[in-house]
Amino acid sequence: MDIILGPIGSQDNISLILDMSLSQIIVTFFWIGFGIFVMIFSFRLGLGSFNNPDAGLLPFLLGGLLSFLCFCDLTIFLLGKRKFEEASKEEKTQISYRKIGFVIASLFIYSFILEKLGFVITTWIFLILLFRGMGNKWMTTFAASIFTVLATYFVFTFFGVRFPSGIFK
Amino acid sequence: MDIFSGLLSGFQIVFKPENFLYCFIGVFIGTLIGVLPGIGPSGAMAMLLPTTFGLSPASSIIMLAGIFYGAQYGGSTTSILVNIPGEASSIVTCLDGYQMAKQGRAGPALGIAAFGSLIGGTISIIGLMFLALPLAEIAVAFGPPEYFSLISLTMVLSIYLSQGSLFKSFIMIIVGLILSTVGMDLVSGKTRFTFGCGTLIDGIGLVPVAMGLFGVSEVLVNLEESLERVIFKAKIKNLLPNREDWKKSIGPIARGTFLGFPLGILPGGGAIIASFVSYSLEKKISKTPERFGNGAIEGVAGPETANNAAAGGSFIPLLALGIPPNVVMALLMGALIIHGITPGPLMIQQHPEVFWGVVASMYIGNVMLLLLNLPLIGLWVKLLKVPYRILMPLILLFCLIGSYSLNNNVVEVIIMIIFGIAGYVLRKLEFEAAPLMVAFILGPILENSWRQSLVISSGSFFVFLEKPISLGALLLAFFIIVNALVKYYRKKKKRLIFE
Amino acid sequence: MSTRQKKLKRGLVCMNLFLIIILFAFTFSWAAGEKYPQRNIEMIISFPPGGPVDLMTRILAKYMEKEFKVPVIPVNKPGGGGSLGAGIVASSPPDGHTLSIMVPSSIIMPVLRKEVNFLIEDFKPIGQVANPPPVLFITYPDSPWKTFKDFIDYAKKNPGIKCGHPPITTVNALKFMFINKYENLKLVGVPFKTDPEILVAILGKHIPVATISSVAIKGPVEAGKVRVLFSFNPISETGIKIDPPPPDFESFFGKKPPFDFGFYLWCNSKTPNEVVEILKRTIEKIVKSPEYDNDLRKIGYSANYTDGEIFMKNEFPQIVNLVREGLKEAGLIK
Repeated sequence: MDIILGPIGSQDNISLILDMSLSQIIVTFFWIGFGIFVMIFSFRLGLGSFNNPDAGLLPFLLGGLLSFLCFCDLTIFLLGKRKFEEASKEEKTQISYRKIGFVIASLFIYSFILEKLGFVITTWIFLILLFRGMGNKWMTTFAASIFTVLATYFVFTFFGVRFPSGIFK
Repeated sequence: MDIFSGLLSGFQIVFKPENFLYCFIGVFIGTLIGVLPGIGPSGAMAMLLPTTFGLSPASSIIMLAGIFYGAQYGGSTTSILVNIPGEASSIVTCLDGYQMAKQGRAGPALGIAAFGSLIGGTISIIGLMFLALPLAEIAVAFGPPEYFSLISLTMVLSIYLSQGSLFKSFIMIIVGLILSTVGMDLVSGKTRFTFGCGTLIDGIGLVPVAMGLFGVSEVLVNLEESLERVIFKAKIKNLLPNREDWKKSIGPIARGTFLGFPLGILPGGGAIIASFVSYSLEKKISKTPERFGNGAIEGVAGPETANNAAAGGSFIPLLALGIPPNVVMALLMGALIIHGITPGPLMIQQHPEVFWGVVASMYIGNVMLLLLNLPLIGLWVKLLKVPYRILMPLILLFCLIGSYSLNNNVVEVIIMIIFGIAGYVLRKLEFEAAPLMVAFILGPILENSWRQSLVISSGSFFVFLEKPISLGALLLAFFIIVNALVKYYRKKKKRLIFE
Repeated sequence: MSTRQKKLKRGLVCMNLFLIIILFAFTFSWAAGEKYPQRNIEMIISFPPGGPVDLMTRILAKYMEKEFKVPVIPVNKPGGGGSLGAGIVASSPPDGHTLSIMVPSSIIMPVLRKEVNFLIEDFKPIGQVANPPPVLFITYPDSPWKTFKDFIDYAKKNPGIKCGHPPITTVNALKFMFINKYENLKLVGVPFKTDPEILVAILGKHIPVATISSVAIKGPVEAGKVRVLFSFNPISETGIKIDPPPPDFESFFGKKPPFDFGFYLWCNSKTPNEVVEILKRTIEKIVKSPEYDNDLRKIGYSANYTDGEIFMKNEFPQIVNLVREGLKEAGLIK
């Protein structure tokens, strides 16, 4: 019987709702808000009926379910049934959010510049930024950037991928 | 023409030097395509289609088919090495395959994926030979109500994809379903949640989401550590699976084959559903399910076998009925039509050389792929030794090019970045991406078949219970849910007793 | 850093820049002259690879390459029911190097639904390259209706018969809606995403009838797995052999279908007239050639040429009105 009725989660912690820390609470609020947002927009699309659903019915129900479940979760927490966990301060200071932010910013910049300056320049700048940002020496940075730009350009073009020429039309 | 003489003639066709070469070119390109992000087999096939105009029908299909199942082999490579799924059917491989790579076991992971793919692929070809026509009949028995129930069952099973909190996985499933509704609604034609963005009319792209949620978020997580920490264990233990690995994998491989093959026949989801179901099944059956998600080789063996078996199975509707079950098959159908062959029930009789030639080439192709991929394992493993400070920008560039090259659309790159950030945040908060992906991929089929069924039944909900296949799948899903809840309450009771 | 290292670094930077510039040279294309075409021609395909429009474009591209002696490159840009590709043509440089085979509804529908920024006026048809997509009314082999007339009579007495069709943004769906309204058949449409799905639904008898494009069912029809009740255009235009042939619109209803639009090659409307003229002459030559027609028939279509300008003046306004009506009927616009 055990083969059929196997356990679901691999952890022994089978409580439906884990203990909450501050970030968890914020996320729960976020989901509630997200669910309501979805519900509002789906309602505008038209719900139809259960027997004859329209475009908005399914997202509406889903948004509602999401908000409801998270609301229940929050309520149970507020009623004091579970512990409030302080996020470990030690954890926070060791994470280098600066680096992550830098990378994310580079990614966005890449996508915005790509079609304006063309593949070659954009990729070159991006690679130099990132290689250098990861702590490589200048020589490695330039060498790797130039090599990668050439390699990717030719390999992908061989496979028929068309890169934007940007300022070189 | 009976099967053995047919097969023999097929082999004669394949062993002609030019066909042998085309088969090799096809699987080689297919592997590369599978490894490279973004470009899928259909893109490569479309590009090579004009070059096949001058070839014989058998030759062109041999080559194009090779690209297809070759891509299935290659797709698992990037999933294992850098947590970027090369194909939707390789998403599940990321879960344990990448963990294995982190533990220095990239070699065995790649190896078992290759062998499993060979076994799954080969057995499915045997099935194709003997069972093509009867199975094709079963495929058409699946109408909207049956699809709805089947997908519901798959989604219930996908709860097993997650390790942690059940509640959070459920939230992820709901969010995945919501995200899948973005775009133009099939039934009413209204556009949902597009907010004026033309790219979203067809929905949020699968590839940008997968690359973002898995690939980019993994990079961001790795950035947290100080650079001194090595992401991949420097000591690579073996290059190939050892006996212990094989012992654990035999079961999943066998089950994956027999699960994947029939699922591949069904139009609409085949290989993807097969990989999800295989993973969930293996986890459920396992005596040590907690290893899944931490580098359990069964989590690679099962799904990889299943998706190759499904790839083989997906040829059946095309070759036997003339119905392409997915985009790639539609392309093959186009190729056949251009060569003056009409795929359909008469094709096997009218053009046996094409059918048998392709079947025989699939055997040869699978062997070629194994021979190609095994030596490459050494190469891939060496790649992982490159310091992360050099590897990381390359991985990101890989993702950027991949998402751009899909449709030359920068919006998709931005979507990928957004999902990358979201994936990172979700991971910090202990939400898992896998259930979201499953729901996201299957959502449209689920909703559309639900609404199509209601239109067909003029609004009656009983349609899902009246049809036997549909009823069966729903009962099974219900049974699984009930069991899960029972198990939960039993455990909780036990805990309370101890407290 | 020592002087030597500084020099090395500077040298490396220069080398980098130099190499970049060389790479630019590859991407930079020199104008070969004033005559059209000056460089590669891009054929935008608004649909995924393997589909009929994709195949048709590749066939035409092959012939165009022979005539123009420059590479004619098909590029797939599926999305938005065809509007993504259209948008690309509308925003491309108007020099005749970005073309696309489209059905007029691909342009008209997204504009009427206000989903895109381009306007109908941004496009100019060069000429027709293929007959209208053949749409067939099909049912399963042992269905109670042997002829279209049987079906129509039955449908009128029993409203609410389910009929499968492709997504609303497609021409084939429009034709279904049209026939439904025109003959007052009171059919209930069951939308499917792709033609193969419709075929499976028919073969498995999940729906009694459906409208579908001929390309998708050529094989099953000839194997007797599908019965064709009616063909919007003469079945002879599809390359499918059925005996006896099912009725087509004109023979059944006694008049020409009020709208029918074939496949046209479009370019940006601001393209200079001389370029358009060159394109027109070349396309006319290709489309009227028997080899081209043969190739099209292999994929289930047939060739037919009409001048783009004549089309724009005479038929196009009617088509816009009809599409507008169809969309209103479906409740998609007001």
